[in-house]
Amino acid sequence: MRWGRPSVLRREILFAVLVVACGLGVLRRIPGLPAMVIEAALVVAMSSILFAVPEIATIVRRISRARRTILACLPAAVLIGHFHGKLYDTFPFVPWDIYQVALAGDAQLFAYYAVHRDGSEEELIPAELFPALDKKLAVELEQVAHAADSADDAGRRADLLRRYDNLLLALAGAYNHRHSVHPLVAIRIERWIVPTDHYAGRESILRTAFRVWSLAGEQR
Amino acid sequence: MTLHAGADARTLAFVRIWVFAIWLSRLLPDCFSCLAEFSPSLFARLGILRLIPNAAVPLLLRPGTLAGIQATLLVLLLLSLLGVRPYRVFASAAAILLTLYEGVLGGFAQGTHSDLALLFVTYVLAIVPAADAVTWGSRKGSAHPAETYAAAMIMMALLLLMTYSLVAFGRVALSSPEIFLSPTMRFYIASDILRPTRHPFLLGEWLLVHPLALWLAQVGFGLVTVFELTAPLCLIHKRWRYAWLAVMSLFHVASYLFMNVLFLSNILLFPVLLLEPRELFARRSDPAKVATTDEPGAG
Repeated sequence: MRWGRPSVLRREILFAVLVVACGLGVLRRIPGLPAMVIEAALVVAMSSILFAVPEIATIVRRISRARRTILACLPAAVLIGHFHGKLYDTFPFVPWDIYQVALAGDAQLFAYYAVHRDGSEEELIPAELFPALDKKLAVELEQVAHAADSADDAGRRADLLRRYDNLLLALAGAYNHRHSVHPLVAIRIERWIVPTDHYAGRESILRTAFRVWSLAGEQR
Repeated sequence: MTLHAGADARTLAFVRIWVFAIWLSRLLPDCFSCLAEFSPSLFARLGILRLIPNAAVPLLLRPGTLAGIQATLLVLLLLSLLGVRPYRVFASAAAILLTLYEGVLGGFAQGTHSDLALLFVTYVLAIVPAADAVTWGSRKGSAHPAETYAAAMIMMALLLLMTYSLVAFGRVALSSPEIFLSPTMRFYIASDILRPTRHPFLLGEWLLVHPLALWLAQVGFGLVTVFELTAPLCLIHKRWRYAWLAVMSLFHVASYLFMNVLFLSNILLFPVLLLEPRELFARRSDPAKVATTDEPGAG
């Protein structure tokens, strides 16, 4: 690969050095240096490479000032959303925090079953009932259940369980619209403890009862 | 040569058609009004959606309102795709309603990264002259300088690439090197593959019981992070861009097959934003037309 101008190459080398230092965890060992500053340094280093390319600078210079300003607002908003780190505040500009934390140990998941009046059961797939939400609804149910489990405050726990029940009510409603002949009367929820370190097929998953939510409002 | 430095009105028009077609195919089969099953109390107004008064939320979440939003969106998307005048009005209205659409989905269940790059690209299409060519009906010749089209194309490619690099910047700043040295992928694969989903691929389970394959997945995680870190360099290095496209396309396919995680709109954006038309449509017999220098700033 042929490399271009020395000014670009110098900045690329600087970026590579920064990446290696981050990758080896050298910068994280500096006391009091927040991860956000390291991230910002990476953004600045990458931006400096792009701005050093004369062709990009020329294009930026030649477009009208109004269009330049409007266009520049978009990457700026993406960066603000990312660094602010709170989806609730900045949507649609959100933090890009995918697979960022090292996790280990057992994974906890949940399985849902529609319970019919005759006692028969059918697996309930939230994404099938709300295709627009896809897997996000299962993740939301999971997060609410985990949060309720770990809530110390009774009031907070009650709020979370109310949210959980309302999500289940929506699932039940959507299911019964589709299965008006054979509607569900309850949703049984199983907690799955998945031994990720020594997973040996589905039989190695520890399945325990989590809740049975009844449409009539009775919880057994 | 910088990617898209030679873009013209037709290049931008092609992206316009492609992007609005992706949205149409995404929204057409959706049952947006099904979300009315949820209690309004479950809805969180995210970010810009806070402009909607709290009292208006129950009205917004009625089946009729949601169906109306979807129907209006479909019409606006079709008009924008065709480049019907006044294009800027239709495309801007479509972009606003798409934000509302994504915000309503995110308001019930968070974790809405999958269509955001597509949404950002749509914002660009709404503010640039993307209907100067290939439109429905007659249109006067373009009155915009060539750099306007190039800037729009570069900005869309940059926004797509930023979503990758920001993920990787955060990962290395926060958790490197332990995230790559510990069996993190095992945890993520197990969580993603076993979570109830519509079209489950069970290859991830095979991966979990084969240590060598799992080790390769962990190595692949590190390799993909390197490509994510350097994503914006695709704008200025042609061969790096080719390598990036190969690795990241493979990554997206693998993450679907092994983890049930699909970023379909990103995959669909790759050919139009990270390849130039001459690369997409070049004939094998005429390689000279495809040849460009790999030197940043040589143009």
